[in-house]
Amino acid sequence: MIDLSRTIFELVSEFPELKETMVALGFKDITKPGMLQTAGKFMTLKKGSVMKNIDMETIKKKLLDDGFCVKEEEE
Amino acid sequence: MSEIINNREYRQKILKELIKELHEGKGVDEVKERFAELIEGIAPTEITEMEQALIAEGMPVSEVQRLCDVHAEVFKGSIEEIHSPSGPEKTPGHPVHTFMSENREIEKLISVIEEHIQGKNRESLKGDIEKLATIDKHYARKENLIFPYMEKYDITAPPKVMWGVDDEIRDAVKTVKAMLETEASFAEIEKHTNETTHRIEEMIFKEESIMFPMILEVFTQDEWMAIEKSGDEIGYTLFAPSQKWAPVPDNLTTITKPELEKHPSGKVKFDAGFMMPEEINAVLNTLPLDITFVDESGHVQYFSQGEERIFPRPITIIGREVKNCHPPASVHVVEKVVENLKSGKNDSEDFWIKMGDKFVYIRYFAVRGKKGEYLGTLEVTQNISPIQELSGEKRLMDD
Repeated sequence: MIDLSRTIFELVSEFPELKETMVALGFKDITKPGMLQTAGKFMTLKKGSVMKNIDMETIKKKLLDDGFCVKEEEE
Repeated sequence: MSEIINNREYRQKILKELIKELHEGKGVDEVKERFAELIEGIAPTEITEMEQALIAEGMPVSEVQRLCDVHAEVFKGSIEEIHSPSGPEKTPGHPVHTFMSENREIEKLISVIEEHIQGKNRESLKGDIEKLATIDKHYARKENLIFPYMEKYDITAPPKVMWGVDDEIRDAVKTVKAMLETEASFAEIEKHTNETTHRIEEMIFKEESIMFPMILEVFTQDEWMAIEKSGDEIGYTLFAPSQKWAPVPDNLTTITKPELEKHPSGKVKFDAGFMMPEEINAVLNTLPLDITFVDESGHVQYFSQGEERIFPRPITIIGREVKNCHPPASVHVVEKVVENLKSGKNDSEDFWIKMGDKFVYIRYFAVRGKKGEYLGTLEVTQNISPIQELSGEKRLMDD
């Protein structure tokens, strides 16, 4: 279950395979040594979407394609 | 009951439960009473500590922040007891406040620039792009004042990436500026301007949603003060902090100050930066000159060991009185020099002598502490004949 508002660090710690999906989506900085453990603790998929200009729908679709469940935020 | 309540772990557990309940949608009013009960009689700092512990355990900051609303309710007006006037970013003069105020000004300027683009107003655009170029100051403060501390805390990857993007933005602004000087079509200029402002806005987002929260968690108050102090030297972008930041002295940092001088990894702290002892040693040995340091009491404490020392110094002179290390013929000169530096009569004394094919420049400097107190004398010697021979220019590398 991928909660879009959790930090990337937490998510990747829990689901290591998520890293590959994120790289495929264009979050390339995640592979830089030390990035995940620092900025990753403050980065969420939502922030990343804004920052990297990657559409949230694209992210959700890719996550689903790669077999993740996505937890939608409560309105 | 009181033993239980006083138990730190127990309080921690309750706090966690409260956060969970808030997360699950319970209202502030519902948990307010239990929170008030929980924190009754404990110091506000402990609440902060408890929150920090929860964060360290891995609870997302955003979750812990839910508690802020409850604090606000319970403490009514006096929330600043727990969190300084709702965070450093709201405290005028604090470096983060300054950075964020600059960002608001940059955003305003960007909307003005957008209007010029719409109105195809080339002249006004030119003036405001000039203004935008001062973003260099904002980035320079970040790179030279913030990044070194991030690196100190082993946060190395994010600043590296960010610095690269900062430079790209600087170049992009320069390109637009240069285009405005040429006959470039307005459509072309518009395209480049929009790309540039877009990247600047992305950077603002990055700073404010990732970098500032990250560093606010790790930097100490002393470090923020050092950052704040150096800001003026570099300058600001479209904004000048109207007041100096005067934080309440933080007892914790005062007590641990001696430790802060030394980084846990063994690095030694300087006015600007940190180095490992072996780095300091190698750096001093790499200087293209020889240095010898005599302490305040006149004892030789240190000399560098560059490849070619002009005056050979045996290691055994360390700890000896400087007057015992000179031939009697010159000892009175040395004594006089040191005396004048020590008394404050002069700050330096220079000599130059010929030694075979070398032309040796010998300089003595008084070394003084922050308050001007005499710490010792530094002797710097250098063979300057190769320097004297320089003329014309050399702009290319040797093959």
